[in-house]
Amino acid sequence: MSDSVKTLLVIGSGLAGAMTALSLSKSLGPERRLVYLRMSAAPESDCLYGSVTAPTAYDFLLKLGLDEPILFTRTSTSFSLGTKYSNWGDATPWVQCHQQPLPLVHGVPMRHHLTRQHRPVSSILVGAQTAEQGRFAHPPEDPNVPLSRAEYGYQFSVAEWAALLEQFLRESEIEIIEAAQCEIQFDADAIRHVTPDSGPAISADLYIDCSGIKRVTRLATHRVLQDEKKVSYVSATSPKEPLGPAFRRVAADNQGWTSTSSLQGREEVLAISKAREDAPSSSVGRSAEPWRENSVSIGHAAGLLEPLTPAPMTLLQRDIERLLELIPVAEDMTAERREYNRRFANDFDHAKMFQDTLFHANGLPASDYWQSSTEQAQDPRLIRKLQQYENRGVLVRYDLEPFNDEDWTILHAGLGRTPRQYDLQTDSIPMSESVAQLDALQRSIAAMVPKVPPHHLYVANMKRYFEKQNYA
Amino acid sequence: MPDQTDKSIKEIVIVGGGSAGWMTAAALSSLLPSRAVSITLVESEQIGTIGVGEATIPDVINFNAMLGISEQDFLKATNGTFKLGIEFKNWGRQGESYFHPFGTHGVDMNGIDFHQYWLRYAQQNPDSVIEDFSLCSVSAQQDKFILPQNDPRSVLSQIRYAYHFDATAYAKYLRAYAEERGARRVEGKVINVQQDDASGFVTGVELEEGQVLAGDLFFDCSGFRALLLEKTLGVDFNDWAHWLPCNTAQTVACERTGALKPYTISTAKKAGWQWRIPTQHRTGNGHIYSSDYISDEEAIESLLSDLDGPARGTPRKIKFRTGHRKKFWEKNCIAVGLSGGFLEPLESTSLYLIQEGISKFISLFPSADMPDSVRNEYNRQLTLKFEQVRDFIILHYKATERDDSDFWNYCRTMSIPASLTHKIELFREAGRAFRYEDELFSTTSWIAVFLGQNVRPKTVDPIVSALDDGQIMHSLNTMRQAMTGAAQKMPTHEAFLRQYAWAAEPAMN
Repeated sequence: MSDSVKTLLVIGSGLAGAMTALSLSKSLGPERRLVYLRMSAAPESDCLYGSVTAPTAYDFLLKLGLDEPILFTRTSTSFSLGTKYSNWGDATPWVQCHQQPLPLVHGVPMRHHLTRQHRPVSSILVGAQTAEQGRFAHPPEDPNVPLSRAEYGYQFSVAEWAALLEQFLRESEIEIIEAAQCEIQFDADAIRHVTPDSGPAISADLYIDCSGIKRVTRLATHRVLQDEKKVSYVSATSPKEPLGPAFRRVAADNQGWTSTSSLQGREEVLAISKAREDAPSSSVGRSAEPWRENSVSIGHAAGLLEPLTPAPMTLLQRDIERLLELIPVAEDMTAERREYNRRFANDFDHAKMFQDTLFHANGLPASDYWQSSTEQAQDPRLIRKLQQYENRGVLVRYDLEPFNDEDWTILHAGLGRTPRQYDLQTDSIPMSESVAQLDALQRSIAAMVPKVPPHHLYVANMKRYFEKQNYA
Repeated sequence: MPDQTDKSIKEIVIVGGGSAGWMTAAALSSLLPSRAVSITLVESEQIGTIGVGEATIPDVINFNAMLGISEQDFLKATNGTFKLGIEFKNWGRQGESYFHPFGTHGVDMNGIDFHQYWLRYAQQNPDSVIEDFSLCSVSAQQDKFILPQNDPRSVLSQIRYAYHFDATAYAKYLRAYAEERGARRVEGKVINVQQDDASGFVTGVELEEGQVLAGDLFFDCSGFRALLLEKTLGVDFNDWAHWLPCNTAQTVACERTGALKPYTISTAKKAGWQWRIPTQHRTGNGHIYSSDYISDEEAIESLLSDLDGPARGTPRKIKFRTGHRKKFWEKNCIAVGLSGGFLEPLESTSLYLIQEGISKFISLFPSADMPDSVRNEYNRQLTLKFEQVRDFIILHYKATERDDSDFWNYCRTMSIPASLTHKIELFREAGRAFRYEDELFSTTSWIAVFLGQNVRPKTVDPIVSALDDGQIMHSLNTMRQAMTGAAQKMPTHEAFLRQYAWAAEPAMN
């Protein structure tokens, strides 16, 4: 093999460090040396990964060995059908649920029929209705059951997942070096070697920075984050039985917003506000170039978004997947670096646009936090999305966005944004026919939801089942 | 919606017939109620259309499906045949050829692209070519065809296809379709365009006989003349001749001989390339070249000497300009077809770009005041489409080792768009190819051309190199056997078409 990239060094701790190191160890062949330089304390800012994932996390976690029996028996993980936003300006509280593609009705997207019939989007969202009633079950395969259209992610504790992944790492072949601190020797922009306080210098062909907002591989001059806005965060946990609903709750207040997730045996609360003296704070934004020379930053080390949606976890996952797709093979990493940075910028900006849409709600408080958030939410690409949706219900899409058409449709509807006009093709379908179809769908959802078990009972039964499987 | 009645579009005028004009008329007449919106198309029998034997890509099936056209009907009416891909001869090097199939190569496994496995496989089987793992390619080489099956477990579900047909007959077919749905055809030549003094919007087109066709919205389907967008509104053209130097075509039909091939052939020549497109009763041929490098006489001679049957008629010359209009939609006029832009039909994208022009318009359908936001979005989307197709076509010229003529020396050494440079470099490093979400050409297409034209990755992806060799060899051998077996059982293309949709008599034109 003409391959000259032999040693990869992951530096960091916490969720990003463990997830990256484990993903690499599962994918790379034995001819590469992988070292995890583990900085002992997990960054406090890890709570900003949020406590909720999108449905895409399922496959990713499975590859890491985190299947549901493990997640539910060894951590306090629970299910998430979405996030409920309340007190959000003038908007009526809504569940931003995860939904499989909405069916076409006579070849025309569902949202146009809804607009035409002045019917609320929530009336056909099986995930939102199930969540609101505190219920949950795995969406079945059978497409005739309405629940098959729902999708789910997890509510979880970042610290627990990080601890579990670290345990997997210790059981793996990967070389781990513990250190409290490390010193990095640069040669212009490239890293020459890294010296942990616990031992000799290590040099590698590729350095992977998972040190969170410390960003250890960045020279001070490179610490450029775009769109800087500073926020403070406070997180707390309190015991709670029985298990709460299968959705996260986010409520706006004058200072900022608070998120509450229902885990097994407890609730996790995270409050975000404008930067204050008495609480830790961090800049929100991204690096212009997370991959420079021979070092690449993953997760918060590359960019940070407030966990207003599952975006922070999705971005972390995409960082890792993108790195795996682009493991460099030669000392000259220009081609990989350019592609990586291009896609990183797209993914981050696209995720931010989705979150920024929440700052375009009517009637939000006039305090500093909300004002600066709205000022930072003016990407022209987003403005085009909003205009096109308002005009004709057109969903403008950019390349490989982390949030899909359904997410956007539900978000627009939640914020009370309705298109002025629907697609003309809709008129070629007789009104009575399209009303009948939507009525039928609405009825089948309404009939099914009460039959779904409450979230806490479902989880309890599922765990009992897992245990039986184990002993069998 | 009552509050919009005064602002809605009521009269649409399409200037020009041909494929672009009639595809637009057919699509609009099928979607818009004829009571609410009138559609008028003006064309002149004195102005010829450019339709020649036309090759397409699978997207055309969606267009026909949107119109609700029966495939058998359509094939009979247009002398249509099936197409499974394109054979490229003499592109990378003289004497070499490769096949660019529709559909995919092999099956992706464990979330890793198939071609990465094949690269590993090829290290041990140096004679293997990747198209041996494409059912479309394997069937095409044997002149076989069958329609795909829906069952994803069947290997036949991997068939993807498009058509070859007579574009003039297609326009005629769509004309009947549109007229049946209330579109009105007016015979005449446009001699003057009337505009609103204040807004510059086009208000009507005046015909030779004095008649004026008024409208709220105009489609410019007038071909290279771009009567509305260029002559009237003065929208500039973005010229790509420095990347795609061909500027002339000579086309001629010939008798069809030998087995009916389910694919297009594209042969690179001294200063361009020649297509061979089989329809049911004859073969369409065209030589595309740069007049800076060879004379018309030489081009015609070269065209005629490479026909595989006696020529029907004499070659027709078409001059063209490669590139696109800086705005496809300006004021209340939209350029669809050649008036909007042209890319040589090396990958059969002409009708596709027309189709995109129409479908993007439909999804953005404006009110009569036509807000800027709608126009800008339309122009952004269409420009992106043109650029993506452009890069893929340039790749065919750039990735060559040919040094036997000034033309190829130019192409081999020319500078190319940065977007394409990045794609080539990524592939050269470790065989990586990524598709933009909205991109027409799939990873398979890029891989087929990269490998077919000898762009070889320096090393295989580190992730695949970690997998077990024996397992890979076994999986790929099984895959190949399944495909060869399936192709052997298929009927020949001609036998299939004869029982499915054979046109009784050669169409006269």
